[in-house]
Amino acid sequence: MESEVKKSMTEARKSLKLPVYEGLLAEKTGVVLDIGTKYTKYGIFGSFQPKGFVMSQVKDPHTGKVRSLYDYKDADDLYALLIEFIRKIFFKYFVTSPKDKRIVVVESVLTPTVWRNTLAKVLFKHFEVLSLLYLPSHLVSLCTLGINTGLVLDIGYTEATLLPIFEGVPVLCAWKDLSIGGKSVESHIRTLLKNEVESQETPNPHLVTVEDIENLSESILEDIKVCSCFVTTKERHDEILENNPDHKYPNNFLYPLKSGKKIPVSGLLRETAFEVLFDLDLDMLNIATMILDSLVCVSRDMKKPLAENILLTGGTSMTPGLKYRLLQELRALLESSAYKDKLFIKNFKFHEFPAKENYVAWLGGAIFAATESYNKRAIQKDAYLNNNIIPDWCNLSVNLPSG
Amino acid sequence: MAFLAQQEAVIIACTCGSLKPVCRTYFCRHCFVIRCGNCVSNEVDSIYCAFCLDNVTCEHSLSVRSHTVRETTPQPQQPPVSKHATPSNRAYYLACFFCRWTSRDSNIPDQKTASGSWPERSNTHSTRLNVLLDYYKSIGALEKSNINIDHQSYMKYLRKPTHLLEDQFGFSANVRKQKVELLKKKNLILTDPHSKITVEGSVPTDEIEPLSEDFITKEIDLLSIPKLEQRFNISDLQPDHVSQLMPYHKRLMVKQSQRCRECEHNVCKPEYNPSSIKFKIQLSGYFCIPEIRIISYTPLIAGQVSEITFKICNQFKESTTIKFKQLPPKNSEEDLSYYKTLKKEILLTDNLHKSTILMEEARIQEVTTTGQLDLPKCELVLPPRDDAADCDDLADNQNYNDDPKIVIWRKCNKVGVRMQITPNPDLTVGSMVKVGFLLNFTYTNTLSSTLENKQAPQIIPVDVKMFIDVGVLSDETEK
Ligand SMILES: [Zn+2]
Ligand SMILES: [Zn+2]
Ligand SMILES: [Zn+2]
Ligand SMILES: [Zn+2]
Repeated sequence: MESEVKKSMTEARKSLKLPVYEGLLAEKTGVVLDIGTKYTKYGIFGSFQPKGFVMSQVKDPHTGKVRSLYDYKDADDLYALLIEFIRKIFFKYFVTSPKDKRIVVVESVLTPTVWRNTLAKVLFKHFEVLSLLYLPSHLVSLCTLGINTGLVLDIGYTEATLLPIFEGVPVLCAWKDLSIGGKSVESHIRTLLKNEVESQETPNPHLVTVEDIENLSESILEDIKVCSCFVTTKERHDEILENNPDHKYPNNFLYPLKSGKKIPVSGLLRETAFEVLFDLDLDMLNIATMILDSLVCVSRDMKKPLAENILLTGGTSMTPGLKYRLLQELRALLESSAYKDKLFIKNFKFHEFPAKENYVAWLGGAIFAATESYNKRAIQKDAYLNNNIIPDWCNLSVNLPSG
Repeated sequence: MAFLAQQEAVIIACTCGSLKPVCRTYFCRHCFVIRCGNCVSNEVDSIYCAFCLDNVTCEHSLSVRSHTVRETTPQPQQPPVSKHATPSNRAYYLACFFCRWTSRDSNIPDQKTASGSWPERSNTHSTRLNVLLDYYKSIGALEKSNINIDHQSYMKYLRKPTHLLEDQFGFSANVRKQKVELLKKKNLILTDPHSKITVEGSVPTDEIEPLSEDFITKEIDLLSIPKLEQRFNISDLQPDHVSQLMPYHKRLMVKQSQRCRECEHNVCKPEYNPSSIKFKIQLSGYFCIPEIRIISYTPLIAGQVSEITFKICNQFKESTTIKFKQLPPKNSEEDLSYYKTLKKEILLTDNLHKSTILMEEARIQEVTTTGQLDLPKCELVLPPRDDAADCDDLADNQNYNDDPKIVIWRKCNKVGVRMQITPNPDLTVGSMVKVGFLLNFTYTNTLSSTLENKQAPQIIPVDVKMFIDVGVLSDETEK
């Protein structure tokens, strides 16, 4: 009698644990994340385009303010932000629980250790994922082309990073980075807009004021950048520098704001906003010199194959005209005294991706994740919990099967 | 009600260290500890469509398409289907009544049936990408097989950190030779005609398309340029003109349920899915933990005693006895043992008992109190919540031996308690006076008495740290 009561009780307890809905992810698959400084790309193993893009930001659980993931104060702060973010990605966008899922995170080779460790802790300890693999973004970008030598220049939101890869091995000593990218273009647009508004003689009530420009949100600057700005050709840029009176600027337009006011966007702004990428900074660096300086660093037999296998990735590199201008700048610099006798190369060649540049690294991760290599290299939950160690990236990255 | 309780003046510390208002906590009936969103595991309970509120069994919700226009007008979720052509040879296309978009604008062919089977668009590069995927899959498989010893020794060589430095310091002749040999062997395997693992690499080009003249000559038509958000919705195309926008899938919504991480019982299970309605579980801390609210207080002046009145309310269906204790000193052993969450060790080495309970470190949020509360020494008994008695004015028969200095009134399950508060003397005017104490209440476990052997109900004392933002310090001179 007593045993029967106990039995029925255990039955009752069991039924309390209702079956879990498996979600929209199939059993064997997993999730690839590329958490960029501005946008995070997320999608499923072996798929050819990300399921979506989402801003890399969350509402702070304490203050309710929207904060970028990369603005973290310390590891604990980052831990809280990442929990919110990963929760949003899985429950809102994947409509599934991350528990017992396979995860790939595509990251830059120079991602800070605290970031990598905190993300692993969030995924394993809080969300109890099955396995996790970090893949270096520059290296996996090659997977989208089927090659194993290439000079990968990633122009993102806050910085441009460059890493040559030779026969599948990253040439770390030729790593270059420069803190220019989409963000510097946007702040340049703000400066240009301010100048334009200030130069107006009679204030027009329909147009924005200098204060309006100062308070303009980043999303509006981004929209102006995306919908109207482009990288001009070297010839036209030289014309602007010479103040050539025959130079015909592109059309002006008025960008309407929700407040009813309008922002006057000039042709000059549209054409020159992206020049920050090509202007030489105090150290005489721009994105073109990054490539050449890196080629100077590598050994002589690598120079030609790398120069003829340039990969341009990152959202900012999608700007119309950027690739053409970069090639023009590279060719001009090659003739300059600074590089003439150092490089022994004649030409530069670029690759075309079977994807959009802003998710190339994600795509490389998704392809790699679909192979057997994933299971071999990923950190399993048990292993992580036993020693709490995330192997350094070089242990993983150089194991890439890229020939 | 939820709004009242969400006023974050009274905050409780969860077992895991997070600070939450009481309505944001759970109380696990099996472990008798407080849980919060940070220390429960979330699960997908059911999936539903946010527009028709049907659950996932409604197949159509998976294929509902929509699109957006610039400066988005309200988006119809299920564009009405319009009939077209003659009855004998009917074809259908989708049309939006709001923005006049039709599926023909996106070059989607008309369909024979009205109910859909609208074609899925596939990635334009899918042929090439499939080739690449197959290539890397076969390398992966090759790598997995044990034949590939040379490859492994190559890996072993690469794992040594020295190879990363070799470019910097130049190869020693010996190492270089070794590397070349290994690379050769490796390439032999990969290019072996019998294994047939090859892929045509992408061909680089130096013929880059120059900037289109359109950028310079054409006017900007904002209405025809999609926003980034709209481009990202079609991630493989990311069109730069609205005419290329495509319909995309609407996301389904998820109803989550929460499970205690220690005992794996549900602490919250919503009733959305009809199949689970009889198992609705709602163990909100609000229904178990005595609720404390500030009724009134005399002006708070630094270093001086003021009077404060709390209302303490028992929302639980059993009576409870509460005691007040001082907070243990910070980071003392007692303090740390309070955060005993998920204390179970993982038994991973034991293969027979593979426990999957995870340890997540407590995330203790520091709180600095800026005032002293004179806590009553006596116990207070609160009767169970009784919704009927709430309306009954005569129910106030007082059989409790209350100290009238402390208990100023009683009504059903509520009691008014007066305490003395002293803000810290060094506090500046206008800053928040925050006090904290340890509330000890008894929880009556009715679960054990009904199911197990008809024992007397188990009474468990539970400690909960409370932090109260009383109010801002006022100026002495203003009085
Ligand atoms: Zn908690
Ligand atoms: Zn629906
Ligand atoms: Zn519409
Ligand atoms: Zn429990």
